[in-house]
Amino acid sequence: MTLQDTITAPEIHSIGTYDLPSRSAKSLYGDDLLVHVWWKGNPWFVAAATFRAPEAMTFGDFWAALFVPYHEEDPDFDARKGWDQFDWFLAVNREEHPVTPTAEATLAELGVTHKAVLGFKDKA
Amino acid sequence: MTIAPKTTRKLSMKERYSALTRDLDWQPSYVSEEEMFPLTTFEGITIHDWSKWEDPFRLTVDAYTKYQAEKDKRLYAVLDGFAQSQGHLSLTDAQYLNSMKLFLQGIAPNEYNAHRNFALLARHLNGGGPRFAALCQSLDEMRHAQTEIHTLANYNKYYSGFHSFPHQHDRVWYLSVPKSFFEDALSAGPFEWLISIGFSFEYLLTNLLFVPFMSGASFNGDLPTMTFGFSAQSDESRHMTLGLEAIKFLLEQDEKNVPIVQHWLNKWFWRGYRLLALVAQMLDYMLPRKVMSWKEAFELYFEEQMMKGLFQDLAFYGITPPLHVDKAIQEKELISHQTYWILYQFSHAAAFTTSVPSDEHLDWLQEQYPDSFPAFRALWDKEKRNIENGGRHFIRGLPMLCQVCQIPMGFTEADDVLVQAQRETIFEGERYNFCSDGCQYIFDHEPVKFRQAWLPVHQIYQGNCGGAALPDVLEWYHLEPGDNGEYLGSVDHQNWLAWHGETAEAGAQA
Repeated sequence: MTLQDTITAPEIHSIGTYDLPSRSAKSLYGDDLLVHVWWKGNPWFVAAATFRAPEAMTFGDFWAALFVPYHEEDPDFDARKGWDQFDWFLAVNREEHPVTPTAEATLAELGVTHKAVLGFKDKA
Repeated sequence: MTIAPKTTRKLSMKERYSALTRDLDWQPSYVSEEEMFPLTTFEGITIHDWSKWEDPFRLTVDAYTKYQAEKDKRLYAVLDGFAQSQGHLSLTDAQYLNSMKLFLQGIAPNEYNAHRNFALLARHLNGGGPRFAALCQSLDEMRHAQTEIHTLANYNKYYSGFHSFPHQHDRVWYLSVPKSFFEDALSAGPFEWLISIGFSFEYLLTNLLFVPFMSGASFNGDLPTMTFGFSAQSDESRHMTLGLEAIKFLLEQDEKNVPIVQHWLNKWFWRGYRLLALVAQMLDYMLPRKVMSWKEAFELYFEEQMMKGLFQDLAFYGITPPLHVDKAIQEKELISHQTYWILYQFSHAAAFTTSVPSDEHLDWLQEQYPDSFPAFRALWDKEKRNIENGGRHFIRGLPMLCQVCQIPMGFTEADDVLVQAQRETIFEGERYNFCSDGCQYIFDHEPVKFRQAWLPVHQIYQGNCGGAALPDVLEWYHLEPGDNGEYLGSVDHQNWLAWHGETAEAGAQA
């Protein structure tokens, strides 16, 4: 999936050709992607977490293998309540684009692209 | 006829200074000025008359070296006396040295970087005055790197975390913050360097960097660092003068320079301010005996001196305060707490130690930040319960980093202190993440530069940092047992107690 650019390339002032590639490009991670997982409104975790995960990983596997072991560090987190205890969304700047995770849906099918912010928050 | 020998005419001070500095300047005859000075045109800055830029050092090389040698003699006498009298035992606490580890790892290598680039400017600026000024500052910066290292070397005999600072500067995650800051400036053109380091860092923000560290040393029994601070102080005042001279020179040379300089100010104020997050937490959390809070320091050295002084003067040239300065002012209530919370949770991967602040310390923070600290106190109370239940909190994973400042994205929205800010830009089909509007602004103006950022977390996931598991990465960092993690019970803590005849239990209660 190609993302739509949000800026146009500004003029470059340099003494020669200056066009070096990204050091975090998707291609550097093979079939995996980096996904940022953000517990919105919970300052216990100092920042969103970054995971490397296969695009084809199902959300169920992602929850069990990556999400829970990390977030169990918060003594108030109860993994037994499952992911339905949270509202899920993709964060784009200050906007929230709702996501409905299911056990079988892959990260790619949920719309998670390289370096996307997969947010969640306690249900209102 | 006998001709009487000519008496040697003694030059006046001014003539001597001119002869020994400006006489090395000449007009090229067989190459063009552009060929001789190829770096001073591509940034778009217009200079009509280089002679208008005066050298604020106003010293000849022989006077400069004599003056600095005298200062060195005084400093090294103090270092010897402190070492021979086991002065380290009179520090307030071994925990104090965490601030000096941070200084040695983060700042000293960048003094050397400053030396390198001012040496480049000493060759590449067109004017004789600024070239000589850049030469003097280059020498100052080299001397600062050396004296800082020598000053702190004595602690390496007794304490953890000092042993591999140049190696760690290049590799460890939190040191990518000062490293990338300086390398951004090093890879810019000479005029941007002068605004970034010469003006924004040395003039606008230097009091927020040096005064807290050196006052912290003074308040905590660190005589060598305090003496180094005094030794560097007169140099710093010249550096500030050079920075101010540089910006005024650029603004006075041509009106077309004003928007370029304004953009650099916007960028480098925010870059420098984000770097100072490390100083903010040091001031509020790492000093056993407090000097002042970050909020007080920011109000005095930035809001009073810069916003009410400097920027009123620069308004004459059409310069306005930097973009996003209002956000920095809002953050004075928050940034030290958020930054120490980050370092606390990741200190298992750092070359310093952290600990939960004592109740007395928490009370002091409450007094200093009555409106904002209750939310952070609640976190510390939760962590205390966590520890009572047997789990000191170290984060098991890796944090999301800002593409520009490279700090874990722990800074919050101005209107909601519980919500960490998330910003993103898509450039040439790739997403980049930022901690703030300020960092996003910087990226959006130079995406090709900042997309090369060597973000430690992304590099670890690519397998470029020693291996995939944490122990591999820590080995690659050259961390040794005792360097990192919790202070209570650490090697430094145990040694400190033994040297002072205390027990671990008594130390923990204190």
